[in-house]
Amino acid sequence: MTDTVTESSEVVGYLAAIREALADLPAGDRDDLIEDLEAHLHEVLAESDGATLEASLGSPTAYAAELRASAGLDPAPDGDVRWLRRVERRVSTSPLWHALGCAFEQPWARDVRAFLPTLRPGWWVLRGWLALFVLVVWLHGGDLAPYTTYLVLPTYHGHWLIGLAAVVGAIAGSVWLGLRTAALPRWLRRSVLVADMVVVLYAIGMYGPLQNVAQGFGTPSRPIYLVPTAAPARYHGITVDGRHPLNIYPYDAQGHLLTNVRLYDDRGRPIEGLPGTDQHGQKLVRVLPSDAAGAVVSNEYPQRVAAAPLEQLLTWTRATGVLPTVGPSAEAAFAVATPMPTPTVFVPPMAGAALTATPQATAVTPPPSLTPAAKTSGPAKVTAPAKAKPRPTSS
Amino acid sequence: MDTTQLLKGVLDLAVLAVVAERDGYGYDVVRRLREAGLEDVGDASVYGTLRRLFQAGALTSYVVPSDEGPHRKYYGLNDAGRTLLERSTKTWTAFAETLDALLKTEGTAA
Repeated sequence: MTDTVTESSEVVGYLAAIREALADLPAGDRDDLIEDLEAHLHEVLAESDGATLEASLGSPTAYAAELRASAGLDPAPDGDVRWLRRVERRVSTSPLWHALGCAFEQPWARDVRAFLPTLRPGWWVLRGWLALFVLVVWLHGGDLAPYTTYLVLPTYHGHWLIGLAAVVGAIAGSVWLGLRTAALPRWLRRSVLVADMVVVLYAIGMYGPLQNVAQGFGTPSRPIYLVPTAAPARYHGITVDGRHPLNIYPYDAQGHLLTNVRLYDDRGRPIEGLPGTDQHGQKLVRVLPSDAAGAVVSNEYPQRVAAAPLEQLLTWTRATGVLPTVGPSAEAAFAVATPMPTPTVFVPPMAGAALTATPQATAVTPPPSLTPAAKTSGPAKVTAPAKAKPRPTSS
Repeated sequence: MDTTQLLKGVLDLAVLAVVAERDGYGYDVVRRLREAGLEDVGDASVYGTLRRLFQAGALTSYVVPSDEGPHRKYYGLNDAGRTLLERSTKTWTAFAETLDALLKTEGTAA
């Protein structure tokens, strides 16, 4: 009795291992192949004078390989491909797949399928552009700056011609590859497929930021673009008393806040490179204007700064430039900024905690050394109205 | 000379010949092949060959209940199998004769 049990369990284990090794085969083929293998293995075990199945037949994997070869089936795929085959098989036997298959057989679906290959050259062109986009953005550490000027053409140190040449080259390369893909060996075709997926996924990930760029606000002739700050790559480190200021507020002698001020150093180089993250390490977004030639101006102050994620800023309406939902502190700061000509100082909601304590001091209050006249033009103090006083409770 | 390589080419013929002599189930065919002198024959190879020949329509099969263990699936030749066996036998005989002749001339020349 005990013998039979151990025998059965050994046969079951051996059989399971063989089944596993044949897992990539279509279910029908595999079941056919091992249909009466169990009986056969019992026989072998009974005749082998106490030797294990492994001892008399070799490893289940080797046994399965021999079975395949002699039964005229495909050899086992490589290890890394095997799980893929298994997934394929799982999918191909699912009812959903079956339903899809039925849908694919409809006349309209056949028309669609016949039509799809004609779109292939279009995909090659798009892929060329996308591949260059991914490469350029990747080389810039995820910064979309080269694309902020013309959107479809990257610029190289402000030169669009080089960008155009790169785009044309990339598209030509993609089409060239597309025309030859079918003739490539299988592993290379697979590599192309994987590369395609990487490019598409990366591009999808960049869609949000790119849309921000596309939604640049300002006047059409002088658009202002929303640019994720590229620190630390371009962060040269302006310091004031050892601290990196998040923004610069120029004032005139009368204490009026100046806007659209471009700062240069003694050698005529633009003073730029405010930090890309705040003191808490949160990523900042700067809204930078562009000059007449379309190049982004990064040394114009004060700058619009926001710490909200780009997705949130997307809902920032283009016409008003008003953030829809910001904390009370930012709201107050925005009200303060309203009377000023554009671009207005925008106080990031992230600084909420700090601003609540001393909003004016942080944002736009003139330095204390200024004349009293300056104070009148300064922001009105936000005071709680009298009616907001807490009423004494009845109890 | 490695007989397993030779066996690969003629296993179909060997299996057909054994089954033609008498119907047999998987393990029985393996044992008879080994008894006939093909000791290197692989268990899985015979099993797979039987399945393939059956799929190809050269064999019939039927299940016989067994007293000791599970049911056994017996394989036997059908007409297609007999035709295949005849044809394969001719091919093999011609091949073997050619090789014999070749070896004989080589032998006398040396």
